[in-house]
Amino acid sequence: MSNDLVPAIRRTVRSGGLRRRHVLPIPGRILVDEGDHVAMGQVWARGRMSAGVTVADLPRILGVQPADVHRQLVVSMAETVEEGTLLAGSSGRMGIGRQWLAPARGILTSVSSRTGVAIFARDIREVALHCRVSGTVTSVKPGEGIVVEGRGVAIAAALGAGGRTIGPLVVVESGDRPEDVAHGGEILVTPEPLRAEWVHRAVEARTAAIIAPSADDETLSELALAPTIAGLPMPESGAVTPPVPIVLTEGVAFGRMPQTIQTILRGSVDEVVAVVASRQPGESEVVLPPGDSERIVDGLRTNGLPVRIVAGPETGEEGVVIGLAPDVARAASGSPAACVRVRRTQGGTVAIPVANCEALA
Amino acid sequence: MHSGGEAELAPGAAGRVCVVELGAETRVGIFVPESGAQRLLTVAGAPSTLDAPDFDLTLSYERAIAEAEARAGMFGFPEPPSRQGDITRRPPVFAVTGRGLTSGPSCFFVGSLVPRDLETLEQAITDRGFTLTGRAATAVHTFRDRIDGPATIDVIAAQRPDVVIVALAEDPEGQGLAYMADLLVGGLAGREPGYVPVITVFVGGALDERAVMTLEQAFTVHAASVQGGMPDVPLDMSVPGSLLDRVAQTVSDRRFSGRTVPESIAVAPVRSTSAALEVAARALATQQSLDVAVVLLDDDQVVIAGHQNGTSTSIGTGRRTDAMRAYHVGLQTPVERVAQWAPEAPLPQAIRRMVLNRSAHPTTVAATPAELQLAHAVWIAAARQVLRESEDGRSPIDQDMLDLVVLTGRAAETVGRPVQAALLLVNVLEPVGVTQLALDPASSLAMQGALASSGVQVGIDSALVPLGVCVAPRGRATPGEPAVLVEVRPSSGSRVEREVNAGTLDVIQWDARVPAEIRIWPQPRFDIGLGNGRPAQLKVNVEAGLVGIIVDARGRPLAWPDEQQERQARLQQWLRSTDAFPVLTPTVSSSDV
Repeated sequence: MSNDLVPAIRRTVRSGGLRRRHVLPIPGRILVDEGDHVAMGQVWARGRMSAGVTVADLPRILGVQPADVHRQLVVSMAETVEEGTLLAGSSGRMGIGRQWLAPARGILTSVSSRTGVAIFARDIREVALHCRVSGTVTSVKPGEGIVVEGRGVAIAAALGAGGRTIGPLVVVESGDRPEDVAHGGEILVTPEPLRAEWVHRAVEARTAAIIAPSADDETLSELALAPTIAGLPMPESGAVTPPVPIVLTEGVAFGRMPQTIQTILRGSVDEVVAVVASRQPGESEVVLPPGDSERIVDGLRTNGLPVRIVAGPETGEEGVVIGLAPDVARAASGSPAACVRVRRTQGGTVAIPVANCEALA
Repeated sequence: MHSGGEAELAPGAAGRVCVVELGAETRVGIFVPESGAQRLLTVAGAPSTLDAPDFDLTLSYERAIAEAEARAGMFGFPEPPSRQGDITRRPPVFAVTGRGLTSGPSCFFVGSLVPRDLETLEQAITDRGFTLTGRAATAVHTFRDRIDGPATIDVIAAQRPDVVIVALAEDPEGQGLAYMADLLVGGLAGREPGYVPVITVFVGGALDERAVMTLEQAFTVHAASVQGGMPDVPLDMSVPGSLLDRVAQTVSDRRFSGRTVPESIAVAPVRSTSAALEVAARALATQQSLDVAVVLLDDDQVVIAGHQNGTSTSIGTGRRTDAMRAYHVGLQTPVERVAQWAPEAPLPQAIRRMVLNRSAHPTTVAATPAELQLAHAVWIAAARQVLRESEDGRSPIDQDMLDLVVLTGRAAETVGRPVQAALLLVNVLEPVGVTQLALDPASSLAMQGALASSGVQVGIDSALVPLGVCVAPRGRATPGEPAVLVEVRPSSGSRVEREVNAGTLDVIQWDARVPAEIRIWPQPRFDIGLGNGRPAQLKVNVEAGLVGIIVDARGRPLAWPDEQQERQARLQQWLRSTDAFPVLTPTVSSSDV
């Protein structure tokens, strides 16, 4: 019976063949070719990101020809300078002259010898882009990205807060501290709702990323885990990005991580996994390598369709779909909704709108 | 399921076509020909698989088609399935619509062209569905002296157009294009993750190949040398025209960036929700000679389209150019405005939790009346904000000239009681006078409009369900004073007369199958359209629809008490008097079985 319901229930776990397009988010150089076998975490492209960019038309500012701009430079490329530092031109008598001053602490990154256009950036970072699934490169489109097809388990996350990373998976059991198990570079899983203090300890232990089920509103704000809605003040912490990539598998104020998700994640302990924590809804996920996790997911399906409930008073509960509920055609709100009967993990059976269930395997 | 005149439909449903709508669900609308027009046969959907963990639209599209087959049965899909996923059974996809989809790319223009050629080029741009978001243009050829290049780059970085078009009538020393290349590469490349525009270059005379190579190191570039562009020689548009087509294709290929999409959807014409609803509103208006507005309330977009006095218009929440999932509209709707429409005064944290969780779990339906009330409060506030924040600061919908208003979108699919749909429409648009209300319960109007905009004749009204009529006099009086008296004389059954006080709402119901004569007597300080205090009798008899007559004596524009508790009390009174929601008591969303 439960298999008939699968199409109508939103899936949040995919096991088996995975196809991932890797898009170049910045101009960069693609390092792999079609047909190459790539491993999870392998660098497939490199690029450069600039923050706090200022563009200057130096011939106009300095009143010189483009060919003469280089003679007017006072600092060298890639030299970090403080805000207000004279970059080009002369201070002139009484400090008044045609000049270009550093708009912030940063670096003069380029000056075109042909046009005299200069670029100053607060920060320059070389960026390596990593494959988030092992497999074969089936398509390469220069300037756009690549496609990798392989196997594994992908778990969609409810919310992400920016960043992506790879690393070995470690589960921090209830009551344990992150510094007890993390030594640097690990992706930590906590089955408990996230607390800011816990995150700070994990960051001190040089954790690469965090997978947690949920966070309350205060923690969301303090760690900048989600955008603030219009009309609410910005968080007092002033944070705009979280200290490490963090994904929440369930959402806001949901409680503990479902046992089913925990079981799947535990199948990849100590293995290298990928975390994509995107601010764009629907993009965040955890990708596990094929192997134990894949077999665990297959096994979970044999006992019925495991689901979690994502709206209403039962939010956060787990269960297994045991059949349709044809006698219930509306949610308690009155909204029309096809319903299913769910045998709750904590006991009892309940009718839930199909739309408010999400399949966990 | 919506079915047309089945007897007239040809067995085998040859000529059936499909429209796909992308959103929290992948939805398909199957249309079949009837009396020279396509009519909606059925709508079916499946939770979208465009996002994690699948990133593959194929799965939900095939599930939606299978669901449509099951609903339409042999009538819509008479051929026996040869195998699962048999594409020969599928109706051709005539149009794709839905969240974030626009018919063409956004673009920013930089260049030096004489006004005549600038106008011609901009016309070519808009003819191909591009939306021009800004320009930095000069008529003189000393381009660099007249354009503030760094400021232009900052504007482009803020607007993030899909395409930057650089058009130079001439570039004799390579300084114009070289200058732009250095600005674009230095100022945009690697500045914002995820933003890599397509660069399009037209230059009169020889192209500066070195500058083009500079651009190609960072961007996808389409460049061409063009003829003309001089004061005495018009720009030859044959080359720019074909180049713009290629640019549009490049942007179209990026629309589903990172996703796998069935070929039939990837190549199908795209219609934005706004454009599709405009077409639908126009068709409804033309068919019935009415002034019409359509209100679409989805979790991640709000669109209001109208056709009044022969003119079409639409307005909606933020413009995007990809089909990715967006945050719930509540994220951009000020908390205090949502609270104004929520009878239970939700905490800001509760609104935030609802908005974020609905963004994270986009297929959910409100499980309790309180959740549904909050969802409606967000929708009303978001839609009113859309009207308030239109480009010229005035609502593009004339509330005094609305004969028919229609609710569509997720809100229409999930209303718990029909009167909720009527209240959503009345609270969003504040119509004045006498207005018919209708519901699009399958939320198919955008699909129908998308099909109609593909040049197909579509019978659009077949999917609508009449809700009834709103009678809303303009005027203001002390709350509690009589405002209007409405008399309903059904052709059979007893007469109903109701006096409604200022500041209140009421509903008059009668047998839905019986047409009734309606007479309205406004008080001297109220105007139903014929002048203060002048009575009116509707020219045609009215059917009750699902709701009946909503008498809205709250005045226009709606006024609110300043004090929060009083405001909530008034809102609760409106909901009670219309019996919009069950009485809120501590409830569970489901039945233990």
